[in-house]
Amino acid sequence: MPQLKRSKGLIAMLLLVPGLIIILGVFVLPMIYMLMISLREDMGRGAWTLVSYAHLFQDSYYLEILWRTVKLSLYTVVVCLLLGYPVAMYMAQAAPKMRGLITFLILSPHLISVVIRNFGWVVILGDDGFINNTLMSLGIISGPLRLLYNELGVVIGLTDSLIVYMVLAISTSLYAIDSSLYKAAGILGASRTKQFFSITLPLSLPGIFAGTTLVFSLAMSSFVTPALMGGTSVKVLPVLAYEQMMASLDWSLGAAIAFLLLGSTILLVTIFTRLVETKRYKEVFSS
Amino acid sequence: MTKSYDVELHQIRKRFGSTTVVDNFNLQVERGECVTFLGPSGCGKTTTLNMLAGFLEPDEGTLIIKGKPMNGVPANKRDLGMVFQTYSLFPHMTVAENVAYGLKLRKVSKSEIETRVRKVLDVVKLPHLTDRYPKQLSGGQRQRIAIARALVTEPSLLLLDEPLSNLDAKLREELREEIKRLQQEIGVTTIFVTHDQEEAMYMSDRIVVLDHGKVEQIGTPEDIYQQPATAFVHEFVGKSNGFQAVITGGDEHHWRLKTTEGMTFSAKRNDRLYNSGDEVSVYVRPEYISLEKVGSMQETAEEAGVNSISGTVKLLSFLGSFIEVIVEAGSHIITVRTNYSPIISFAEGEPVKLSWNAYQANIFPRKEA
Amino acid sequence: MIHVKKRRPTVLGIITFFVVLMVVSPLLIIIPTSFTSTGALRFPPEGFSLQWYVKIFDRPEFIDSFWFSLQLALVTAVIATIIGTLAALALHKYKPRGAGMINSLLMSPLTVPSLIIGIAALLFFTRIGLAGTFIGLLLSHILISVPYVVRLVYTGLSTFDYTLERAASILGANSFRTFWDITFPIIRPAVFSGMVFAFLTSFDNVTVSLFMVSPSTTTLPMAIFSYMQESLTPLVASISSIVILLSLVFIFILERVYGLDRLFGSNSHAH
Repeated sequence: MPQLKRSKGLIAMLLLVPGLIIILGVFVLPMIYMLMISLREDMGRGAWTLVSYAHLFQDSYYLEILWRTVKLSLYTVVVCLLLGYPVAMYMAQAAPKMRGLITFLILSPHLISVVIRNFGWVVILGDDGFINNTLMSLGIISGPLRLLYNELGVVIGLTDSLIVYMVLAISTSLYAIDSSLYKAAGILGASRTKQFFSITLPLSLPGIFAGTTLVFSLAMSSFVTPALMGGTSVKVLPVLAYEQMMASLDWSLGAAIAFLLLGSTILLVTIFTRLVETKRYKEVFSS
Repeated sequence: MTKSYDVELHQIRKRFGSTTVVDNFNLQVERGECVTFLGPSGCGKTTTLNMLAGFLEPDEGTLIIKGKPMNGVPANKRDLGMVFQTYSLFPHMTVAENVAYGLKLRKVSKSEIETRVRKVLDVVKLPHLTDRYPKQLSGGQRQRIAIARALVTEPSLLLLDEPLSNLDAKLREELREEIKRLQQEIGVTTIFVTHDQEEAMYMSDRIVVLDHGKVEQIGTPEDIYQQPATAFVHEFVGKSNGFQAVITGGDEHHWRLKTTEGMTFSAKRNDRLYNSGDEVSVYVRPEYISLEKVGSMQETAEEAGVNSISGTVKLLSFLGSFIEVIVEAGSHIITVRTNYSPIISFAEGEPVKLSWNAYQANIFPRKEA
Repeated sequence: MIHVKKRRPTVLGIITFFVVLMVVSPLLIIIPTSFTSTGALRFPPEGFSLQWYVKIFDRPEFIDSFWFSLQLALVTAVIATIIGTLAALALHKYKPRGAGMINSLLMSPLTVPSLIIGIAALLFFTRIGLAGTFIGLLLSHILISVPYVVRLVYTGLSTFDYTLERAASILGANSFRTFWDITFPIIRPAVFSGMVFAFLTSFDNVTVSLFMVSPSTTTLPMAIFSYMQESLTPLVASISSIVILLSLVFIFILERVYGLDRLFGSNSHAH
């Protein structure tokens, strides 16, 4: 028996080896190496230094970009929440077939490259695109509205690609609500509005929080949409990192920007979680 | 060894972490015998079966099947047949493919596989289902196919792991009859695991009663019922009225004792010796207690070796072939089973007299609580 | 279920309709645009022609990168599926010590933004001489695909009844036969879905490829991305239409075999 147990552990380890090699060799080691590069002179081999980080924090140019990245991510979260919550609620009330159809329709575009989806938005939002041509032919506006290559365009593009996470997170928590609660509340005399605020909303908080943190972190690090729909005027941290790496070739600064991005995302998500997960929330939802 | 056995367990011991789940298990099973492991969940019956199957290795002891030591031999090299509680038919194979799988592994020729599959499906009376998938079958059909799959390789030993417990009551009785018939016809040595005592009684030549990893008794169904070796067996198999008592004396046939509630009984002497003052448990089966109306004509006089107490009928339940009567006697609640008779009927609240022969009361040393 | 109101379009229904429209329309609008007869990228398109499909052939970089992406995605899918399936089996079946930790380690590429993974890989690969090579690109794509395969196969295994393996072994099958005859056929839909998902992950990726590609190893999304930054013509529409149709085939296969909602189901740490 001891041999049997040992051999089982051995088999498990053998099966895990290829996966662990990939994770360690292409992810963990590179991350550590990147940290070294950001913290040491001469491509991670020289003396320890914080000069790259100091550079980032002393120059208002970088801080402005950081702030813009955070701001656009927050806008995206708010729009995703406002649009996603009703969708999740609708799905929770819908018949299983309808629910499946909506899930399919909002999920499947997600499996097509974001580059192509963003191109579609260019066709819709461009100066000669669907919206401007429609509004002009209706005579509502005389010249094209600027819907692209500004912050609005970025938020539209990000909402399109990230709302799916918000909807799924919230709908999962709505599905879990016991429908007899509504009957109980109804018998006690609660109106529909009252039921929403006393049952639906509080019980879907875990979904809201999960969706919020997920959409926020994904928005913070998105590169393609700001690059294609924001143009040169809406520079965000990921675009800056790319430029440092591929154009300026300042790799220690690029690595520092990568960690600034990662660190600020984790910090903000942690602060958010601390703020919303009150003692009472934990008592109700901790499993 | 003078006699050859199909299965021999010698001092088998198995621990999971710090708990001993099977402790010093010894057993010899003769060819063609059906032996049942009976006990509550966690008694070690399934663990022992898994050790026989080769899914677990014993920590200590030897395990011999058909004269060959099996310690360290993997399950696939033991030549066994096994039927599982959850049927465990391969969902992606048809009935015929399921049954043929073991033969295919043994590299039996195609034509022979076909004949043997057909034959065994005839035996379980499902010859028409060959091309169905398990999903399309009822629970009873699935378990018959599972039995066919286990038998088709003509295994040296058949293991049945609670094969009936996922079926409903009617089907369970039907199928256990069928399994017994098959087992006797084919003569395959069988180990049957169950927590259902009626099933165990019905199926087996011998029963092994287990509790907390220890063998409590090995014997024929009749032995187990009539001569329980321990208090546990008495309580677990069949219904019992139990009393806590103290030995007060005795002669060469009987022990005299006094219950904690103050009644005096006598009970037959067995091999065990007690001293006055020893704490014991006394058990009487409900069907051995006779029930009489107080003051009736048949009221019998007190005689030696007969215990009798009076009480009041608390509850009557008509259970078809018999009536179960709950009688309150002092602070004892006693269950009595009596044949239904339209002539003598009892009413709830009626005073009655209970009596039983001393030789039908079994005494055991008091269990440590 | 809250209050099922039938027929009358509700506010919720209208919002849902618009959100679905918003998510689907960027893809739908591309296809008619690709048939325009003019050179301007406008909607509604003017006239009808196939000229922008013909023009794809004038741009060998799209044809080449298309085939390259297809091959890369295929190789990635096969390798990631093998690696991920083995890992999921190890975690679910053998439950080794520290299984929880190993699982989070395997999932960790989903918790760090892929842009950062790309930068880190570029730095590290430059150091060890893999930067700009096919192997480097392939390894990075395998890295981001493996977690999906692990998750899908692990979920597939959660409904697998291991007594079936016991049943097979008692009938005489060794562990290898048991896997091929019993376990694998039963979890095949999950493994297959993992493979399709890995294929799409690789085929669509830009953010990691960004740092891995070289002129000789450019993927199609990278080629489109670079082209779009310089010029916006209906050529992008015709290429995109082809990719959309191809992806739809895969999406329908996925939906049939596995159900899309299960791909995304209950993930607190997606991406």
